[in-house]
Amino acid sequence: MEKPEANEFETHLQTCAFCFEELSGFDVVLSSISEWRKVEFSNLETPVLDFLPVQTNTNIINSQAEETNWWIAIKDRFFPASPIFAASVLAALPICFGLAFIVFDYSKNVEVAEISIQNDSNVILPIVETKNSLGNNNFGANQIEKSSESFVEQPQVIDKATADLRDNLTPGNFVSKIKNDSIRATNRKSTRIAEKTALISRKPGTPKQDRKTLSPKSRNAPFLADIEEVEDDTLRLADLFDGTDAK
Amino acid sequence: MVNQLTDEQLVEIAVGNNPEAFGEIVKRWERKIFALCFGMLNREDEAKDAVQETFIAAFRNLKNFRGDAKVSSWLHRIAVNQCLTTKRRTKSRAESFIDDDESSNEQIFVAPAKISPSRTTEQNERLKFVQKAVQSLPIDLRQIVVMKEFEDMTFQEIADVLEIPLSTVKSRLYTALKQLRMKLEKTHLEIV
Repeated sequence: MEKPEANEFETHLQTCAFCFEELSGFDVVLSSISEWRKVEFSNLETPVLDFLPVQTNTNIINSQAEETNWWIAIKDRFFPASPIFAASVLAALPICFGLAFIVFDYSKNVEVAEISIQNDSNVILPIVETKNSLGNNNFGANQIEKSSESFVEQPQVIDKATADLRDNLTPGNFVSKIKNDSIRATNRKSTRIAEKTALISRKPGTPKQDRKTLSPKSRNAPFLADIEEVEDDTLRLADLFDGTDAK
Repeated sequence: MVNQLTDEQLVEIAVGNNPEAFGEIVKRWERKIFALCFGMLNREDEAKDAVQETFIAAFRNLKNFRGDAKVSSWLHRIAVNQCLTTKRRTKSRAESFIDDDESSNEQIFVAPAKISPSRTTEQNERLKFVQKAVQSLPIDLRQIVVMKEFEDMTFQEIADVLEIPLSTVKSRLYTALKQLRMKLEKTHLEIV
């Protein structure tokens, strides 16, 4: 009981005979129990528990100290300076890693671009792929052989360039980007060669499709439909039968 | 230096497979646990076995100690449960003589008073009455009497061990003391 409560209870005991007698009777009981404990229990020996080493030594303290201070020892070993120094080093590490990653990523892009530039004369990969995928019918190849020797030699160069680029480059999103960049970097001559090669290899389509596939710079080049019209004048079936009077 | 560590710190060390730390806990509390078991069971051999079982159970369940309560309260709770198990197993050898029929009471208490006239023997017999009167109490009242009078635990500590309200501890102690007083007065009158 707290002191105010105890004082109030003492005051009550002085005035209440019943509570006083009740409490006195409890005193007898409590004193008897205390005496019993003193006589009976005090003489008993504490049992020795044989399942554990009861004795203790300073190893407990040392082990606890070792467990709690091992990381501090490691920190002091690697960072003997102040904690501010350690914190600054830890903060600088991710920055260094980030810069290294950026430099590595940039150098990788430059390397791919250089490969494309080295093969500058052959960098017409999108058009070459169009030729490879659609040029199985060799449509118009003979006509180009007739018109110009340069058009005859260029597909072979393109095939070689395609093989080299496929050996050096791996497919990926960045490749298409590099291809576009490299295409912009090519000179006008290579662009015209590529356009002419495309004219050789592509299938005939609508004028809108043709304008989409060709770059704006190649609009001076003749469309395939125009070439066909010209060639149709030279290769008419009716001309073969002019002398025979087939009609 | 060992005394500088608290019970909770020793338990943390003992959880890491350090039996010596748990040995220190045993050394600190085995006497009080033994007193509790002796007061509950009233037999030295059973009390020793209960103490042993208590600390074995505590050692096995060290990882389950959440730290919500004191280590001492946790040990006392295990000891109380162990005593109840022992009591149930042996079917309460401490048979209450006061609750028995009148003939058996006369055979146990009246006869020794007539046989031992000396004062010392009378005192010993009186203590045996007290002992058996305590053992005759219901277990929920007895454990509170033992904890309060054998181990000098506070009401709050008893409430923590038994996980009951503080007012319940007080009321149970009052009831137990009242029953003991009645039984002792009755036997005293019979002896006289």
